[in-house]
Amino acid sequence: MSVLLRRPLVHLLKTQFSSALSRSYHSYDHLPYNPYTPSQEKILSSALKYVPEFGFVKQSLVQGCRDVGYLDTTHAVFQAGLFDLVKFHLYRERTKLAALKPQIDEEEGKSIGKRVRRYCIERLKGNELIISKWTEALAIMALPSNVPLALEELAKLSDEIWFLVDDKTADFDWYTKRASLAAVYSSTELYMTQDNSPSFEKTWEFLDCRLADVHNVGSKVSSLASWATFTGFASINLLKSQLSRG
Amino acid sequence: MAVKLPEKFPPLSPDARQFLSRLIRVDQAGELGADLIYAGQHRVFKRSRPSLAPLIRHMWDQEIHHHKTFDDLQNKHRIRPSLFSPVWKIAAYGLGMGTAIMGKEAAMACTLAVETVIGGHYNNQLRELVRILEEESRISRDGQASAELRALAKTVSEFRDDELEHLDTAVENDADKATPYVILTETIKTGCRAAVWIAERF
Repeated sequence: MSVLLRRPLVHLLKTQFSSALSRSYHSYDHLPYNPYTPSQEKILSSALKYVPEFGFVKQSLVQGCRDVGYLDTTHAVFQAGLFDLVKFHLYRERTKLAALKPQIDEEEGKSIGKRVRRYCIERLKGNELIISKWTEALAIMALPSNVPLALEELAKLSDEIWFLVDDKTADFDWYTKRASLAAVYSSTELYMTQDNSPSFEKTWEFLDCRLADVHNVGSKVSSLASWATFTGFASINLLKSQLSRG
Repeated sequence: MAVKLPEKFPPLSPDARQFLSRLIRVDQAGELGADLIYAGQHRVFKRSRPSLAPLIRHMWDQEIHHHKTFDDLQNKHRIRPSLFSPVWKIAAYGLGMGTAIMGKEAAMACTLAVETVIGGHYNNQLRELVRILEEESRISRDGQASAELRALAKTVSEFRDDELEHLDTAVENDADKATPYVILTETIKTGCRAAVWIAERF
């Protein structure tokens, strides 16, 4: 019995946790790895067109299959069911961001903060059409079996934005940057579902506040680090001078 | 009508991608360590044995170049840096300073141990890289593997040669006269192997 219970957990940790940790090598000479086959992509993108009307429900998937000429039952090929529809939305909106790079580089200038903000806004605008149904997607993502992959998608989005703003972090800050942006993004995304202001003005305000918080904490951490380094060296020098006096 | 061949190579296999991301992660962490070992040794020798400082400085400069190269590769190919980079920093600087305080021979024994492990490690990576390159050249139009992977193999083999040169320098500078030589080198070698194992994965 315990073996039966343990196996799925081990399997879950092995496949999902390790895939989240082993982010892949990004190649320039090789075609990118596409997780979807052309027919899966066709069905899922036509299903997403029904989401504003029906929501993240089976009916959208069924309609999607029907629209591109498959049998209604074809939706069964998506093993994760509705989560596959949610994941496809996340994947599609994330991969769209790269095409905006030339435009954003030109319009937002060199400031990393401004460009990060702009990418967040562009990504959030991807949820605009389905915002009234987005809480359904959040509920699907919050199911325990879906959490690891949903978090992985969030991590990938955060990584994508830092990559697109040409961030060159090579140490532990790589993790703090990605984690803090992911926290900012996900809280703003949640805020947006409750926002009734015209063209989501309140959401962008909320985003600015969250980004400012992260910036403040970040500069406090780095001033703490330089204080610690200074104090460390000062105490070593003090010790040395005391020792040399004998 | 001539068939237009795709300009890019087909997607890398999951195994190849995992191999390449581990390669860059562990080598970045390794070069970070090497950089800081020599930084630690230089800090001590600058005062205690100024005659030795230029030799250490030369090796240190090479490691700085290696470290920078792998930092660039890590960013370019979007590899997650090692989760333990703060640990590697402290451990490497401590190892460098510690062995340098023990004396010239101990510092050279440390270089010998580290560079032996790293040289062998680079060789293992090269063997696998060459296998991937051969596979790619078979499917390529012009019989050549992708420029990206060829450049990576060249970098790894250059750096291996530099590390082996440091190994020779250590032997010429009485690394084997350190006491207790075997305990010191074997401890450092084991530590390096453990660090390689961890840095590849985490």
